[in-house]
Amino acid sequence: MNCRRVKDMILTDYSDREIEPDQRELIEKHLAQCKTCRAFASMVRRSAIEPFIKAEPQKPLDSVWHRIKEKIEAETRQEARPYSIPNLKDKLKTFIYIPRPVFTVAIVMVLVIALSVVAKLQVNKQEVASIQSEEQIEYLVNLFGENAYVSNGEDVGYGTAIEEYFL
Amino acid sequence: MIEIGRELIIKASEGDMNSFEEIYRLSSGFVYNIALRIANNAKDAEEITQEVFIKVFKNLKSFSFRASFNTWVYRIAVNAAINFKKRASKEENKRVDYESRLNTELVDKGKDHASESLVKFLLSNLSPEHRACIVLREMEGLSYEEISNVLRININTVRSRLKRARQKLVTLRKEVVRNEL
Repeated sequence: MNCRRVKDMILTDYSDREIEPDQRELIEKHLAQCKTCRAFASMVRRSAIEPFIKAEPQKPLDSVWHRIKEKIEAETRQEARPYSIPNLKDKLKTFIYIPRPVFTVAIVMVLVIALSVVAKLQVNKQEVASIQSEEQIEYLVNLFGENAYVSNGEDVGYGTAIEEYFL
Repeated sequence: MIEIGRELIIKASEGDMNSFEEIYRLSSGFVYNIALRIANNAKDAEEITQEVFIKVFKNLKSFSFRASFNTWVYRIAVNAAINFKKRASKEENKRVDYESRLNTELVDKGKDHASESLVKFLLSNLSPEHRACIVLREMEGLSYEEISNVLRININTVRSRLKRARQKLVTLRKEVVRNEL
């Protein structure tokens, strides 16, 4: 076991007796040989463990219990009077839901963002439609020529080749 | 530590104040100590203890007996103390400075004062989470598994918090010794 591992164990499992006996034995063997780790173990014990173990447990004053008892009894009395003002306030709260300001702001912001996105999408759609129709007109003009829609009386067709044969 | 009986808990949950007082007598010591060590001053510790027992009383009916009662109370106490500490951290710092100065003056008056002020000084240099681990381990004598149940964290997290806290305390001692020289 190297010094780094031993120091880690001194800071935790070894000092807290959370270690298997064979591991403890290995660490103790190392400590018997290594002066640096022995000094580190002693330092950890003196500065981070013993001061807390030596500290006397403290007790709360009797007045703490009296305050707790008074508060609980006052709350119990309050609950026993269903139509008192604080109880009515609580009951009203269950019927009327008033969201907190943070949530209200968040909801408003989400709605504004959603509306702006929808509006932008609508504008884009219109642009696409107008471009498409212009392109279509241009395509038709290129396909049939500028006089495609002007009839000169000579080449009036009746439809498909079969229709023309019968007519 | 004395494990509180099921019958006593049930009676208290039904509103019997004598039973609840008995629960308070059995567990107020450790609750107050946790509060005192995490908050690091007596006035706040009293307030936290009060808050914890009112919460315990209100929630006794929902206690399901799946975990130990003491573990449950420990958890409420640690959480209340950490939250209190975080809420009042700025004011607290001013008061700890004042109290540590006061305690340095008291060091000469007796060994108990000296050891108490040393503990306060050491804890004031740790985060509330690290304090909780140190207090539960060193002062309450809980095992790693019990600490992990109280704090609802992994055993390895308990191990790493204890390691970091102790490393900090060792470094602190080295600094103090260096400054004294």
